[in-house]
Amino acid sequence: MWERLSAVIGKEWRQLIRDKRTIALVIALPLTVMTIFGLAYSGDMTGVKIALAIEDDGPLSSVIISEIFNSRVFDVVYIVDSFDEAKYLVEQAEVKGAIVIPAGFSTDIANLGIGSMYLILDGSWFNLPSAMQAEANRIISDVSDKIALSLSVQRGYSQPVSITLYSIWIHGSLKVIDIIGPTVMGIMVQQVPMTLAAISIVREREKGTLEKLLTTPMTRFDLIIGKLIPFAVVGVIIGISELFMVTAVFGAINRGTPLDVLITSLALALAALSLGLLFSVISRNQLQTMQISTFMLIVSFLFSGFLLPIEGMKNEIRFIVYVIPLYYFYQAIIGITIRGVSIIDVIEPILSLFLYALIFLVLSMALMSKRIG
Amino acid sequence: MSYMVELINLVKKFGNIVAVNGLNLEINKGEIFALLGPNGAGKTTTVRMIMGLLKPTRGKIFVDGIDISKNLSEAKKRIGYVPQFFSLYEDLTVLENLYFFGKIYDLPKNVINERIRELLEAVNLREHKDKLAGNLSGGLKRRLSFAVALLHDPKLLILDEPTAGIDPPLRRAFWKMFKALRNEGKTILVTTHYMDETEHADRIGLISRGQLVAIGTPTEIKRKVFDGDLIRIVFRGGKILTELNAPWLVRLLRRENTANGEQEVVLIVKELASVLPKIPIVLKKLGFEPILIEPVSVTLEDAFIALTSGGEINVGEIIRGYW
Ligand SMILES: Nc1ncnc2c1ncn2[C@@H]1O[C@H](COP(=O)(O)OP(=O)(O)OP(=O)(O)O)[C@@H](O)[C@H]1O
Ligand SMILES: [Mg+2]
Repeated sequence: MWERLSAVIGKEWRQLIRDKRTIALVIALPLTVMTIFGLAYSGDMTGVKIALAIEDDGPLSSVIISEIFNSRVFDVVYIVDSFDEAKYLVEQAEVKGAIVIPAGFSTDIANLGIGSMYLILDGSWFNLPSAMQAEANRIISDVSDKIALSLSVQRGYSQPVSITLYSIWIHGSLKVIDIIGPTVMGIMVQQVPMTLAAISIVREREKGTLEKLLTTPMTRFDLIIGKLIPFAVVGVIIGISELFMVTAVFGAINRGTPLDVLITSLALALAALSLGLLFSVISRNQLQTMQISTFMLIVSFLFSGFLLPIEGMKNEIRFIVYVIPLYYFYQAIIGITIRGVSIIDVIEPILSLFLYALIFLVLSMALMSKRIG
Repeated sequence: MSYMVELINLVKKFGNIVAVNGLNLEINKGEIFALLGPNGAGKTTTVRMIMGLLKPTRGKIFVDGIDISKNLSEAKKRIGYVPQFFSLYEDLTVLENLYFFGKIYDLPKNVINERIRELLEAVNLREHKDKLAGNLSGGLKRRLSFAVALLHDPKLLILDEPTAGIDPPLRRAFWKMFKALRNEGKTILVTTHYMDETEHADRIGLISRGQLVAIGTPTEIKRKVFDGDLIRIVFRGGKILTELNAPWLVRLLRRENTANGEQEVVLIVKELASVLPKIPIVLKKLGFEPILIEPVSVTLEDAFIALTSGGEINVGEIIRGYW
């Protein structure tokens, strides 16, 4: 029995290490994931786009304003005059949140030592609101101390200052399934067709059917587009059935029309397929393509912004999100299902997906060898 | 431009391995040409280069006058190719495979239907048309591959070891089909390592270690081994025959004393048919009494072994089998 067992072990080991490219992938991919992860998330959160509403024109708000501008976490992209304008920007997803310094802030602090501020949060961005609250609270506590100190110096007696932060939620009643459900659907729409596409050409190579096919008038265009279309149909069917499950069965919110969800799924499926076809074209065997597909799955989870906010990634590494189809899908689907906007309002990420598909399809066709071996 | 296939100084290296080593070959229109060689001789490599599947390290390939490095797609239209290993879709049925390739070759629908009907008949696959290709027996798979290669009615058929591992009746059937197609004017290039079946070819090219060792009709090939035909003579008579001078003689190959004081010799002569009647006369002139005069039949197998074994030709070994 031990002889036989050791024979099987020996054989598997040899097969595993025989192909250098495969073994390189087996070892390099997990290390790559950890390296990117470490590089990306070892720092603090930065660049969360917010709006700043300044209703108070008193002297003390300027202390707060400069502190907010100094924050590395917040990136103030809009300065407006009123709470309502700020809220509108959050609702339109122009910003991830907004800080409001209400009218009378300076006088309240000066007279009473108490003041209040508002933080408007978009609840549809998973994990981001809590980070924004933490940063806003840090700023307020720093500012309170500074103001207290300067007032004490001015007046010659100790003046305690207390600022209360009120969080105002847009989409605040969302459950986890509302936010994560559509994205999990996206993962399926990305991974299943991508894996189908990834093994498709390399399988023809391995089984020998490509040898016959390449001697016919068939072109690379015929082969690649011919494979793309049925797999894209599979992707859309997955998208629609997952949407049905997550909304009808599990009660997630969908404020978008099925057609918009369908188009968004199609865009994602096409982008994922074109990437899968590229993997298939450059791989030597099915094992390699499976490795790359698994890699894509993990990378999509970690770096598309849906589990971990992109704002938590270091700037230098953020470019990685642009090669992950799920990133664009996430940007679009949250708008459609949660904010209930029409597809026109999220056309940018959707067009990005179509462009992505086009680029990778052309690349696949260019790199596909019309020879064997 | 009268050749169907012309290979000029073709070389293919895989790293250090030289699979095809300076091959020059012309295949005429309308002939069955058998490329014969042992395992690893470079047959598949050669065929794949003709199909544009491998890029030659050096050399030129013309198919029907077309330089395939310049216009491969035009060349491909003229060729029906059957790879060495089954290369159709195992998860499609016989009919589905045929339809698929018919469409890939841009054939009109009615032509596809017509061709499929004819071909299923010709290769005797009609009763299996709805089976999955993967479930067919080895012989049926070969027939299906053959049918697919014929779909677009190519001028040139290239078959890589179509008869390897199939039973003798089917092999005969295949060669019958090759001949029928040749008689329709098609050119057929078939690789094989069965010497016996190459007797049916119009010409044979013997390939060994990537080089052409011999080329010619089956008879020419056999003759090449010994520089002529073999005749065995048994006779009685006083003296021992050690020398023989005649213009038609290439050489005296063997001599042996056998029982009853008879002698036996094997001669290599230039051309059997014209020499045979002269032999009794010569023998009688020398005072011998002929008992038996017969041609020694050399099979292609003998010639093949002799030619590919490299250096020495072991004639004794070959002839012993026929004494
Ligand atoms: N892709 C490859 N890489 C490395 N060596 C190869 C490759 N393809 C063929 N060879 C080598 O080239 C030589 C010729 O092989 P080829 O397959 O052409 O022979 P063959 O005559 O078709 O043999 P068989 O009768 O076994 O099919 C062999 O030594 C083989 O090992
Ligand atoms: Mg071969």
